Order: sequence, then structure tokens, then C-alpha cells
Amino acid sequence: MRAACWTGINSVEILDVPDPRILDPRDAIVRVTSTAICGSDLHLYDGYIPAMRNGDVLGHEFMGEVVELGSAVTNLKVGDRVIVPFPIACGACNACERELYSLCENSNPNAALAEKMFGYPTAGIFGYSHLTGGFAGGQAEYVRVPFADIGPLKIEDDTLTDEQVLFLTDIFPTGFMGAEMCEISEGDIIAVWGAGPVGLFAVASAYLLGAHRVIAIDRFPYRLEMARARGAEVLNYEEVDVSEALKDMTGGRGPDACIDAVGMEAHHGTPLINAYDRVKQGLRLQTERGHALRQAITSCRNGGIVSVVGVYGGFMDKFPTGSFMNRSLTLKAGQCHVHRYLRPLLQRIQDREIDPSFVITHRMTLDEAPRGYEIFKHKQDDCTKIVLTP
Amino acid sequence: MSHHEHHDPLGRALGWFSVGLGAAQLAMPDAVNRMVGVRATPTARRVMRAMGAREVAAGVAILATHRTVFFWGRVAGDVLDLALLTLGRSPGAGARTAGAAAAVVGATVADVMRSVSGDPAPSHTRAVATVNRAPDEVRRAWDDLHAGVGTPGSVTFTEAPAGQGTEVVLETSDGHARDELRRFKQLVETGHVVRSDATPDAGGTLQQLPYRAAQPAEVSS
Repeated sequence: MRAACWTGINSVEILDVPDPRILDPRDAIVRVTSTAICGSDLHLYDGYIPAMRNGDVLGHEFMGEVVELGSAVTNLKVGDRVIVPFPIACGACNACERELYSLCENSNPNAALAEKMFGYPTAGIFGYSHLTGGFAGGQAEYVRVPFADIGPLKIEDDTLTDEQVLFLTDIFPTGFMGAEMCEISEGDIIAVWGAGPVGLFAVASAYLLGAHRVIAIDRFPYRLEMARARGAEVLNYEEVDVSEALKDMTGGRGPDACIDAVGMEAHHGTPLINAYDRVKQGLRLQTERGHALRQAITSCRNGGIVSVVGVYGGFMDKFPTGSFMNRSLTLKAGQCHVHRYLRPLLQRIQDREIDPSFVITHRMTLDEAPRGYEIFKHKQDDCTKIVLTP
Repeated sequence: MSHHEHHDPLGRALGWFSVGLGAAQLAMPDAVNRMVGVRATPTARRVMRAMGAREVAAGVAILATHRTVFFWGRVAGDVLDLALLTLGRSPGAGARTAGAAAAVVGATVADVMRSVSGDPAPSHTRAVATVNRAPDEVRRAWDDLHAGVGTPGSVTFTEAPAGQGTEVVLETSDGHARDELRRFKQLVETGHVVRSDATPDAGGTLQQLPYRAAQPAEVSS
């Protein structure tokens, strides 16, 4: 079959690889009908996530049709149309029982490696380095889905297109969890760093959860325009002092909660500070360029919540501990526990509360993935979200 | 006793050899002296007992710590033994003395080999995991899995608080307790050992780096 493979930093190639097959009784093989390039795939492309190998099949946002089932999967049938959550979860461990699916204790065969890096291991993830298990991803014609009796959700409603449900696999629940962690109550003002796909879903979700106002922060006018279309007020950090502007917009209180939807490759509006973080990251003295998180912390209201769904990989310098501690902030974070959001968010889509396809700016064939990574990385052609069709 | 077990078979053999030889020298100095062709004088008896005490002390120190310095101590003791054999040999017992000297030289070779290899890394490992099942069930699963092949180490099962399952503590001497226990937990909780495209043989230990790429394996492999 054909698959988009990581072949080095800034290099993705379409390669012919063996077809996947059932390895375990709880596996399914899915023929991919739609898949997407995620912002977090760019961290792999840019070489900032450790433990990638030449030839790794990429992709953790995908959906398709079940073509083969292991003997122990009884809740799905061949021919079912399914969406597949990006974390792999067994459904039986303590973490899964507590609905912390991205922390599944069993799904990462390379747990020993993840344990060395993070202290305790995390779940397996499709197409996302050997740190998260070395699972082939879904930017391919077919994919093996382990624990298929737990993860995939059958989409029964034929009136919903792939593009409307595809993002349930990652970015919609991720943005939603970012907003949910803010514990939004009446009158709350939420600030969102990053108006990429996850940031846009965080904006939309904050409103779904009752936010009074949402403020989106980015530097690309076309992305800020998309945030504005979801009802957000916007700040371009290359044009204004974000901390001062937020203070000014919130009666001097600061946002009640701040969402970091940027992660490890943040950009700073001041070239010198940006260069400082870039050089340290380039020399591997830190793995993160943490400006968005630093600013989210220092900008948050006293006693507020900082919610982190942007992806980080290792260590960051100049974490503002003084601001964080003295101002009684709460820091919440996590790779999305997608499984717990599938049904409620599908319901919201069916109820027409939201149509997630609004983030899509580009549609390509799988074979065009290498070009897709390039234009997505460089924000060319007003690129926000690319959907690939095998 | 040291907390760690040591994978040091040569060292352990030399330690017991020291204790055994030293005990014989202490208990039957005259018999040992005759065996190695040394004249049975009161002085020879006192020297043989002293050497016996030295052997026992060295053996105990080696077995307790496996520290390389005590093997160098044995090398020094071997040299002393050879010197004493030469000094004390009785006329007409040349063959016995030569045999004894050959035995000491053999021991010296083993002592030097062990000494230059340095302190062994403790390979004893202890792993702890919580398995999300009741203790009875976990113990039964453990016994079933290891029926016929034997447990790879010592294992205990304790109920975890608030119904979180069973805390399993596994101690092995082969350095694989963690991987062993992780796979056991996967097997009990999920029904199989978890495999990815990069680890189709259910590997995934740090020892197995580097992995194959995360793409489906050829059917033949």
C-alpha cells in the first residue's frame, strides 16, 4: 500500500510499504477514506519529537471503513464506517477506567522509553514516534487499529460527511478539552494562544461551554480572521503588547482562564527573544520554545486556570514559577482523552451546534502529502487544515 | 548483606572455595600440611591455621560484597601461599608440593581474572506495578503463566487501596523485572501482550533499541 512516511527532518515521502495485518485478536484493519495533517505532525516534520525512524508511517487523524476484524472484536462489523481516536487505549487499566485514555497503561509497547523521558509512560499514539509505541499511522491506504473494541466509533448517520466527523479523532476534542479544563462559569473571559485548528476549536468550544468572551492570539491575519468568524475578539501579537491588551480588555483583571494551543514551537513577537529560544532549541539546550506558555501564565487572572493542550516534548527554560506560584494559578494539561468526548461531541455535530469542517482550507490526495507538509509548515496559501484522501 | 544480588558466578565460586579451604586449614592443619608436602612442625601448624583464618575471612568478605578489592586480596594470599610452600616443603615430598603449587597457581589465575574484570553491576532488579484485578485473580494468572517454567524471581501480591487492584512486586536477578512485569500486566488486563508495527514481536524494551520503522512488517517476518 501507499503511505506518507517520515524520511528525515523536513522530509515526507510517499512510499510503498507492506499492507497491515491483524496481529492481535482485538485488532481491526481500516481502509482509510479521509485523513488529515495535524499541527503536531509538524513537530515530527521539524524534528523536535525524539525517537523517529526513517520510514515511520505518519498520521493520527483518520477515519475509514473496517475491512478486517480480529476474533475478539464483536462490537464492529466489516463494512462499518468508523472514526478512530488518536490515542490507543486498552479500556481495562486504571487510567482507562478513570477515562484518562491518553494515559493508558498498556497500549505503549515502548513504555520503558517513555518512562525514561517523562517519568511515567503514556499511551500509544498512531504515527507519532517510537516514544508513543511505534505504531504505523493513518496517512496511508490502510491502518491496523489495536484495541478496536475500545477506540473506534461507528458513524451511523450517513448524512454526515467525512469532513464533518473526521476531526473528532483529535483536534475538536483537543480544543474542547482545552476549554473544559478552564471550568468556565458565567461571565468568564477566556484567552486562547494560537488560532490554528486546535485554537479555533478551543474558541468554538469555550463558547459552547458558556464563555462570556473569547480572545484569540496569533500573528497570521487569515487565522485571526477565522477566529473572528467563530466569535472571538483577536489580538495580533506582532502588532500589540498582548499582556497589556488583555489587561485592558478585561477591566484590569486578566482572562479568567488561558488556553495554550501553541505548544513547543512558539514564536515571539520580539525578534531577539524569538532568536534566544530558537538558538537554545537548535542547540538542544531546551526542547521547547515556550513563549506562549510563559505569556499565558503571566497574563492569567489571579487565581485563574492555565490550560495546556499545545504539545510539548521535553524541557523548557524560564518557566515563570514566581508568577505561577504567588498568584495561585492552576495549571492543567494533557494529550486529549479523545474516547470520552467522541459521543457527546458527535451529538453536538448531529444537533448542528457546530460543523467542524470550518477549519479545512486544503483538500489533497494522499500522494500530495509531501507538498501539504511544506505549505502547512510555512503557512503558505493561508493554510490552516489539510485533509488528504488516499 | 548487600541489598543487591550480584551476577558474579566466578566470584561466588572463589568465595566458597576460600571458605571451604580455610575451614579445612583451621580444622585439620596437620593433614593439610601433609597433603601439600609441608613438614608437620608446630610452627607449620600455626602458620597453616593463620592462613586458614585468612582464607575464611577473604571468602566471607567476597560472598558478602563481591568487591574486587577482596579478589586482589586473594591474589596476594596466593603469592604468600606459594612462598610458604617453597619455604616449608619437606625433602622427598617434591611431587606433593609441586601439585599443591600448581593448584595455587590455578587459583591465582582465576583470582586475577576475576580481579581485572572489576566490580559486577548489580543485575538484581525490582519492579512494581498495579494490576487492575483482585489479588486472587492476579496470583492465579501469575501461577498459570509460569506453570512448568517457574517464576523468574520472587513475587508478592498486595491489595491496592480503594479497589485499584493488586500491587505486584517482582524481584529478579536477570535484569528484566520491569519488562517481565509490564508484559504480565498487559496480558492480565488486556488479554495479550501489546505489539506495534515497530515491535511486532512484542519487544519494546530499552535493550532492543534501535527499533525497526513504524510501518507494517512483511508477512514473512
